[in-house]
Amino acid sequence: MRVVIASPAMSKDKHAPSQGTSVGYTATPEEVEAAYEALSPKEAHKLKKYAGSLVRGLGRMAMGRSAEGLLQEALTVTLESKRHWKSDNVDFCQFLKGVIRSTASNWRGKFERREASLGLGDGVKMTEVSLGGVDGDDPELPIAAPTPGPEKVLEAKEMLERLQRMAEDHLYASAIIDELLLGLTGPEIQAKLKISHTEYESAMKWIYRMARKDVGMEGNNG
Amino acid sequence: MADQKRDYDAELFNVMSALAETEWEMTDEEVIEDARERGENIEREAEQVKDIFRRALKEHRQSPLREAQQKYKDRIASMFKEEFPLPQSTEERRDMLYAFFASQPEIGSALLTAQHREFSELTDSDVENFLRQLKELGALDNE
Repeated sequence: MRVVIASPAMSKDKHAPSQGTSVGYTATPEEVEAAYEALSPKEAHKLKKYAGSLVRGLGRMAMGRSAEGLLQEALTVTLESKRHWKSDNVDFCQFLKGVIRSTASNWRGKFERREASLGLGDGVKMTEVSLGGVDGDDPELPIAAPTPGPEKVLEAKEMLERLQRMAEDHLYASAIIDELLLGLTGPEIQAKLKISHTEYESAMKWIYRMARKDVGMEGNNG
Repeated sequence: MADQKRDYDAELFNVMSALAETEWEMTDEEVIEDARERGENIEREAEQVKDIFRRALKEHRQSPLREAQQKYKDRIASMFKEEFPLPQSTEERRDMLYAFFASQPEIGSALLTAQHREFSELTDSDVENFLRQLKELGALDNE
């Protein structure tokens, strides 16, 4: 089945749905209702797990919101037609997955903008300026932006370090994790490491099982 | 130190996002096995998801009503904030309202009948409220 997802790109997230057109008929709230009621148990379960993993990945960037909140917001933006679902040629479950992904990216973007507005994070440059002293003109002294409290990034750092330690002895997992940290997608990693899709998927499933046991992928953040 | 330049938030999101995609691509058998290992009940979780969606739909359907209610409240509040030169004394206000009702008997009758009241039963506060509402509606502009 040909799939056209008509949702605008909202972030630099490589995995977010690509921008499409939104002309023509889009689903009514009643059709959206019928669609989610028709979700199979496995589909609904997968949506929840997906949202949970993304919220887990957001960490403090979720600002206390949960997987349930992510699911609710994804459906709300769909109902408000901020994401257009064309019911005649788009699988609802797949569509909603894309909206969940976009919404999570938006949460991340809002957090980063908020941090920047508060003078936190790497995106802010701070400069010390003299108010005029006895010695006359003083040069501006660049100083580093105040970083978030160390305890706030410690959890993410520790989780990542545990994951990297777990993967040390696996043939591909360690290398794949290193590339994931940089934000490379699956196809990009396969090309860079010169591994097949099967090898990549096998390693990712191994990482997933290890992460599930140790890092925790329940996804209910707050 | 190299660590100071790392964005752990972004790295965690990248890794967990990729793992979420791997999770999504699992076969039905893998999903069932994964749920069994976690002690999860797929049917129960699916119903929880649908309940979340049902709440979202309910809120969406009620949002126009909530917006209208909020607009009404904001409008009432603004009416009392606006400068409205009411007559100083309660007697003068009552006279003003009475004069208006006399000149516009159909409006007066409608307003009083809707509240099942006679003019003499109106309190000073009622009189003030009526005058402000009529002013807001522009009914007093030519009086």
